[in-house]
Amino acid sequence: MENWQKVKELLNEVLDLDTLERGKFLNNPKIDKETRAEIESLLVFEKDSEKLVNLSAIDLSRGFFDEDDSANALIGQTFGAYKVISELGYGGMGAVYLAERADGKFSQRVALKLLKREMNTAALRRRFQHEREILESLEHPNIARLLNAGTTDDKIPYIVMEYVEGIQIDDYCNKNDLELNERLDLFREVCKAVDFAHRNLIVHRDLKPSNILVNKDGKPKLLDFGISKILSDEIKNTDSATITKLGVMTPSYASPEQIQSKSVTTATDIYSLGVILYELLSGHRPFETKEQDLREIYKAIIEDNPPLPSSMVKEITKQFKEITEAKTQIQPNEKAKSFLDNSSSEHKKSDTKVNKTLLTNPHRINLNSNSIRGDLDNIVLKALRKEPERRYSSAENLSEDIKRHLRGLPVTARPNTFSYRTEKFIKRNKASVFAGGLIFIAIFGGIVATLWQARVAQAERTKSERRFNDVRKLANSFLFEFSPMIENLPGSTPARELLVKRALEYLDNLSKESSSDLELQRELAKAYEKVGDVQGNPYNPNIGDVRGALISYEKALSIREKLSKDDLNNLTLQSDLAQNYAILGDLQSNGGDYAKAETLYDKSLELREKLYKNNPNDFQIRAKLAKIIKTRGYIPFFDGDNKKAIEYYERSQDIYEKLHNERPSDDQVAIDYAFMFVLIGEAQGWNSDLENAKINLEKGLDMLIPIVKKYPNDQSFQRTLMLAYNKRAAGYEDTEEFAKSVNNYQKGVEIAENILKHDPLSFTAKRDVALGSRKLAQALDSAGKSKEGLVKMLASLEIFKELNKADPNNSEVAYDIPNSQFAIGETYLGLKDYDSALKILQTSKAGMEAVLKANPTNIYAARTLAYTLDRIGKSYAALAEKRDRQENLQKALEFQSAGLKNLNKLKAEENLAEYDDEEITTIQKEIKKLEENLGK
Amino acid sequence: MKSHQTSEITQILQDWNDGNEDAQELLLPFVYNELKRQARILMSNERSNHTLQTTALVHEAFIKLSKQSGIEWKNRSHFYGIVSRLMRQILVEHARRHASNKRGNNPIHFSIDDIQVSVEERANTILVLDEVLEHLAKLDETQAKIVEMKFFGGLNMDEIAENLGVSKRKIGREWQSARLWLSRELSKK
Repeated sequence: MENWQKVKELLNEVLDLDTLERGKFLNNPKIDKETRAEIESLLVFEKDSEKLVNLSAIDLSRGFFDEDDSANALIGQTFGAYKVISELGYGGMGAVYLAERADGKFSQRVALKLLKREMNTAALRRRFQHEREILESLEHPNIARLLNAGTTDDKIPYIVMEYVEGIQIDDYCNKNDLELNERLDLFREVCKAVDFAHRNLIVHRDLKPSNILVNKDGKPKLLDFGISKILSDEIKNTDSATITKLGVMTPSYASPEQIQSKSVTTATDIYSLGVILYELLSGHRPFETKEQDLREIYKAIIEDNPPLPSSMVKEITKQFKEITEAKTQIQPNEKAKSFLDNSSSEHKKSDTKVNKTLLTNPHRINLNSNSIRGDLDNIVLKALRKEPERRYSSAENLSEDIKRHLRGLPVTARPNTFSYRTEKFIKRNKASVFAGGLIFIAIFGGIVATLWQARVAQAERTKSERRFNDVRKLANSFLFEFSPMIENLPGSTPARELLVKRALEYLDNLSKESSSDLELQRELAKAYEKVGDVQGNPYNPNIGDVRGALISYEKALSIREKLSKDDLNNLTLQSDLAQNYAILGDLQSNGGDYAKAETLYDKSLELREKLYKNNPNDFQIRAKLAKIIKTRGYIPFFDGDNKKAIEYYERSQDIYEKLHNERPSDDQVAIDYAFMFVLIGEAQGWNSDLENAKINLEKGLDMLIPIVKKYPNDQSFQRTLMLAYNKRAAGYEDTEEFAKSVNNYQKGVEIAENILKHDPLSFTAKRDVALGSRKLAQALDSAGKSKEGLVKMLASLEIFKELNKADPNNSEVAYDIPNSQFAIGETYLGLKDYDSALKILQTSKAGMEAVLKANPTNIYAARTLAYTLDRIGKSYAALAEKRDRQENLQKALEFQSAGLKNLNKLKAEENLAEYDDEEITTIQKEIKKLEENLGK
Repeated sequence: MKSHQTSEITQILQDWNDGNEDAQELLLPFVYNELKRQARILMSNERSNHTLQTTALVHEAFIKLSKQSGIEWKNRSHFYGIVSRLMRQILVEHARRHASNKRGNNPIHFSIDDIQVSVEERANTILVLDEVLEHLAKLDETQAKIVEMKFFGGLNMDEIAENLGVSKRKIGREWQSARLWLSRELSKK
């Protein structure tokens, strides 16, 4: 009825009127006859309709549910060849029945899972179907097998599974009083089943004791793949929503990533296995006390470190002993009961990790803490790591480690120490197959592993070759498709490292089998380079393992040099080689060995120039040439030869300018071009050309800011802008515009902190924050805000120390520490806190001497040491006014003279700037005064 | 089994938040169990404040879902609407099983105040209402939704108004005219 809208409006109006008025209203000629008739026919039901007000379907449904799912009704019914005997269990969408073969061919008991009639909707059928498909692909002695599947006459789907007559694994262990070793053997069998599922790209996602039954023969069987996930599905269906969604399972066995809705991988099952092992060893789950409250347990799983299984056992044993001793006269039953009553209050007082629920059956296991302490503690905790990539990389590896323990061999699991944590991505177990912080690591890792296995298994040559190429293709896909894709995403450093390492492992294996394959060798070189990038490419997010990076890059270089000899005209190869030299140069330069860096840069530059000569119109080749020229300019800049540096910089800038004019929309080139202004400005500043320095720095920033703004998530661009801010800030220091300087440093630190926030493991990002904070502190000091600066400075020193601990081989950081200490010393001097100044300057001196010992050509260290000596002297001179006058004056003279001597030496070598002269003059005057005071 | 169910629900809710429409349907088992639980309570309490119980069902289902899944539920009223639909699905399915074959000859019972009314007759009422509601949906989708939430979901006017994002007054008027229409159509059955 089209005019219902009209009818209902009029109807509502009429209903507001009394009977008399209604007639009048409906007589209105504007209301047509038909409408009026309709309204009148409805008004008849006005009274009747009141009955509908309180009508409720659920009221009416009373009694509908009495026979409860007609479970009994099913008994005796047949499904295919099976006849239902009784109900076994009852779940959300289905019920499970015990059934047996009805055709009498042979006696076989089965479990029949049936979708409930009410649940027979398309979506639920798909889910049911999903489980069926998973089971179909999983034929393993430790996994309950799918026997049959079908639909009933009224189209209700069912599956027939192997019926496991057994009890759940934890109960089995306790009822049979299994010894520790027996428990471990049993658990290893479970690992086998899980590993098998993983190799078939299936993640169970809901591993827990009630899903692992042990049968009469003592064989554990995995059940219930109801919420499991086929990883390969997600390859076919790669929209991100599918990839990131997850299932949180039974909370106590859920992993942190499940709770946080992050990607679920095979590592998720490893975690659950860890909880199960924990329980088998200690009789308790790691966060059992918090299980009363879901939020509590979620929080604990995400944040808390689980207590060691051994200490859990110890605690329980202790508490139980206390109770039994205290309540000896009470009957056993009552003993437990009365303990329950008391313990809740005791629990609050003592705040122990164990609560009353734990103590209801404290003897459920016959283990003691001593047998678990050490290896087994470590194994369990490794499986329970918060970060998926730090757990065992496969169920097999977990099982292997237990085997090693059983045989008395050292295990791979190690305590969770700080140094281990920082090295974690480097020292990964080589044999690892599955792991993943990102889903595709697991997906592709899984596929590669599967293909690999298949390859090994297949003797047939052609097939083998095809698979070989598949593996290779996948490994390459790791490197060249995924790694770059996530390269500049915040927080991606560990994922990249894993990704690349995994690929490298496969390539390594492949290259062993096929060393004459040149293309493969080239790929291998690229793989080493990628690993090097993640380990320590200073221009990208990296994990700060400079030594590791050097090794990787050198491996890549040696392969390329070999290949290059035979193939001098290969453009890509020559370009890769040039890149290889350059990055090694970068590492040497960062390490302070400028001589080595210079040689490497020159080699790279030579290759790039040759490439340019042969391809003068190639945009990329020109861009790369500009880049190496710029980089080469850093060396004279670091050496203090600012004029020479500017020459290189300007040459580079010329090329960039042309490129920028050709392709103004290329933001990478625009940023490179703009940054050259900043670099030139910086060098001019050091060269005391403050006026031009300021012009160039400001121009560079003006260009950079709007472009970089477009890329808030690009770490590399953001970092360029941060460097630019810092350099301009330094320029403002030179022109003594301290407020501006502070402001610029602040902006720089802000960017650095933001990058670090997104990628907290990045060494570069962390160091940037430390360096920026230190510079900001110095600027604050100059701006007269010394105390504010001091706080920043001390904070930055702490970061440097952390970084140094993480990578003691990083010479830059090793230099940063005494350099910071020197700056702090200076601030204390300014604040007239001479004792503090003296103390920290002494530390700085020792550190600086160590740096110089490692690298005697580091003139910055030499210069800072000279000033450190002088400042120590100044501190003594000030202290002489307060105490031990003679002695302190003597020391002051001694140190200031040493400082002056060093400065003069540096000056003679032309390693000082003009304004150092002023300092020297001042120091000379002070020494003279000291000598006068000492009566010399 | 209960814990297993929890895991499923959480999964479903997350899928749902991710925009998977199937997920709504996947909540069915959960709502079903709640419904059954409530039906049992209703039974044991006989008829006392039964309408309140019906509303409580959806509320409890909501609270339970939020609690069990540990998920901060964004769209409460949306959820109510969906639960109403699921309950309709379940109740109609059950009614079908309990209904007598010779429908139409039976009187329609709008209330169970009369304790004598048989299960068959009540089942028939649900089916007839479902059928009529189906027609109403073609005529006026909003009204059909209101009736569904009212009749199957047991929601009150405030909740329905919130769900549909319109004023309570408007809902009241829609409900008023829908009621008349339904009464008339039911009388024809």
